[in-house]
Amino acid sequence: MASIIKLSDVWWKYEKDKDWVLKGINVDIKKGEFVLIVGPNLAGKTTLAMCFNGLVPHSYPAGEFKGNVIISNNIDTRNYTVAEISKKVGLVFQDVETQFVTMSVEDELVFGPEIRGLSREEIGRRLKWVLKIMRLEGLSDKAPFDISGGQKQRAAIGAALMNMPEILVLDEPTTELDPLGKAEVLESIKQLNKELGITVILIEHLTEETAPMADRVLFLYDGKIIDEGKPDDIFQRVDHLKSKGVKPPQVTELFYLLKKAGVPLKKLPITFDEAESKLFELLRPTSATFKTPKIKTTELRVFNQKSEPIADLSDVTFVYPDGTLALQEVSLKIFRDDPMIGIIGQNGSGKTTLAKLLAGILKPTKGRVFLGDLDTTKAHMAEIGRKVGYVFQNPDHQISSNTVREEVSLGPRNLGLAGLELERRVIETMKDLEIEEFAGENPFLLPKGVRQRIAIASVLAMKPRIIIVDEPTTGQDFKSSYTIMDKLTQLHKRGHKIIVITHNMSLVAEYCGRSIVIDKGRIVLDGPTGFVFMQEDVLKRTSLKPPQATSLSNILSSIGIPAGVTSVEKLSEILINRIGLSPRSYLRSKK
Amino acid sequence: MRGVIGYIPSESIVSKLNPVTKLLIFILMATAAALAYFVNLYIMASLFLISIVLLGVAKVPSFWMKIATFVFIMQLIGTITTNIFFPPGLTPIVEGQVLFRWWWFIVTDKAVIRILHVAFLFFSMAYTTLFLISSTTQRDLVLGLRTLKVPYSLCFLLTMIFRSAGLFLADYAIIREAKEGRGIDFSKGSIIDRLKKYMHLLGPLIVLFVRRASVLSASLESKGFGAKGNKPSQYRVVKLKSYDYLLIFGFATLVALAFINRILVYFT
Repeated sequence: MASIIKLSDVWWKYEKDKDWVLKGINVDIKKGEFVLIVGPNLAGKTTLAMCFNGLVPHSYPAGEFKGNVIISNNIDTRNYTVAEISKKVGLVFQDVETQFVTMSVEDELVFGPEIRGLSREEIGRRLKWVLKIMRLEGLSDKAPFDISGGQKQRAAIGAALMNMPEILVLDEPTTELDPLGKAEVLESIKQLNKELGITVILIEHLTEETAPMADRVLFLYDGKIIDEGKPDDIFQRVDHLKSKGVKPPQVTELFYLLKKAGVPLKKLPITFDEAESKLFELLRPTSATFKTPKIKTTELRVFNQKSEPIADLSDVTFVYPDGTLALQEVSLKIFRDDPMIGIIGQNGSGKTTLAKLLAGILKPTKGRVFLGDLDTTKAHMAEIGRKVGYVFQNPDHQISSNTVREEVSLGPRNLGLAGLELERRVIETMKDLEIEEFAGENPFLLPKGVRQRIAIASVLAMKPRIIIVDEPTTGQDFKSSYTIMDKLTQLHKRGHKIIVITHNMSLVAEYCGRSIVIDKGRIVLDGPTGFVFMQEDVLKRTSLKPPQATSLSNILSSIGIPAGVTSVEKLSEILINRIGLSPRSYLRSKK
Repeated sequence: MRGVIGYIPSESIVSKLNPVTKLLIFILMATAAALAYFVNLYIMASLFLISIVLLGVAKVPSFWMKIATFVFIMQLIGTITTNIFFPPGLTPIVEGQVLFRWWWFIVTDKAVIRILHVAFLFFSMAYTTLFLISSTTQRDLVLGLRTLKVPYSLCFLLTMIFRSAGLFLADYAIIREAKEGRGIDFSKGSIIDRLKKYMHLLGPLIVLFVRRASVLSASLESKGFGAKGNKPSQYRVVKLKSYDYLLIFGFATLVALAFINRILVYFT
């Protein structure tokens, strides 16, 4: 196949940076190829994406650029403007909201061709085509605030397609989307590559959905491509990937553990279907002799708490001032002995509204919210702040002080703390979140993972009994996500009740003992996470999907494997036991 | 957050009118007012009455009307005061026939006419603006301007303002909620205290604005913005119907009347 984009020894350094962000990148991408780029945060993925369409170096004139980026054999990106290159290369960003620059889907799509002065007839032809292939028909006149995140991102891809590019570069296009939005966008990308032959370069943290779609994977780490090859090969190196901050698909991890325990496997599967058929193959011959380990009872029983509720929503309805009915007669109790709670559901299902009602930020239109004996409709925010803290999704919405220390002290100061007591509280909280080394620094200039921890610290410093954290891991790589979730688990163990709102089903399964599923303003499932993820029909109706390991255990329940297993490690233990490996080889696998 | 100015979806006839017609009505009303201001009180009164009719047809909610009326009554009180209230130390401007004199108040026929001119101008323009923004989407406003051949760069700037203002207001609401969640009560304290509390909102608003601006500019360039040599084309066009022409003709006639009247006054 002919080369369509070639990077030769590309080096790039932003102005004022000491270190190079890209360090001698050599890539040759063929026409019609689907390339997946993986790597941890700060590996240089977004910078590399901007090299493909010339934003680097053109938009950063003070930066330092070395090497060549050649498109279609003759276009050197240094000699053409970004606008000219956009005819060949379309770039879609992670931020769904900001990249939508106009006031309707149609305007967004025709923006590029209008700028180029194309005729109405030509624009009309392209528009009809893009609306169809991006499944945006009927949404032409919709404003950005009237469509979902998935639709907005599909419009962004459509806007790039209107310029008829040969190459489409997508920088984490599904990060901010709910499971349904993610699936919709990935399906569209796959279609563009397979049916229209558009070369796709996709940067993603989600390997489960994207690995099977790609022809080739580039593993970017610290500005260098440290590994590249077919997904089947790259994802075999599970330890290597995980040690460098990339999470392989759950099914690959599972088989990796089985292989380590002595299960004879030539290749680790990377897709769910492969894993499913391989497991049936492995388990059937021993079905007569298996010993099924008991799952802890807490995982399968439906909640029946006897401790007193620390938060109680009874028949709560909430209607926004514009008339949107966000919650409908919702009743919910949070108990003192609850495990960590996950709230899941599509965008717009009412998760954030529910959490804001719990945090007293919103007052119910109908019904009551009690925090112990405190009625949130009558209480002052400072009183509520002692009971519930709310960490917003985007730390930049929350941070407002010039130093990390000031930021953490803002809440407790409003509660009336001063002097030594305040100082002690701030130091203690910064230590808890491991941000004390940044105490004197400007929080706005720190990386997003650190800013997220500062946002949590600023709420934790008020010592609320319940802490609600909204999407704490959005845009984070797997290592940073686990660091944040581990911190939250520690806080939970120390007596704070942690409630997490997230689209990341694997994190909910691994960290949250109780899950609440919201759909169209109603709670449709509430119970132990394993139990909730066993209800695949209900989840499907709400456009959710259990993590791969849980889905596998649900399917394998037909041959005696317990359903609703929430982590890869637990499932591997059960399977190893079932396959009947010796304790010695099992112990070796644990090492 | 829906946007900075308030389009109110309604089933009124006005919301179905061509945006070009609505923009022209606004422009023609403003032109007629400029020509008749301090020249012909009857035309000014007619403009005031027409603006009320426009508001009624557009079915603008009374809440909006109350706000607009309140703001302009406040301004009018200022105008009235400067025309009839002359406390010691201020030289009374007595023009025309004195109709009424009491304490520091001197009311003349010319002052009354002047006040009426100001009142009619304020209210007619306020109501016409309200008619335009509440019955036209921001998208249609820009479309109307493009159809009227306003330069593309200005129309694009307006789009950016509408879009950014919507995002800015949404950010403001979230940041305020985040601060309230940490015990800051914006409704309590002296004016200075409240101002200090609002200062807490500025930092994150500016940071978000700057971060967004960088994504926005990269996104615009990637879509082809800045391509040289081509005159931007316009995909969406709106066609005027017979009733649009009729309305435009009616308002143009009003402007013509105001213009002729002004010429006549000038020569007499």
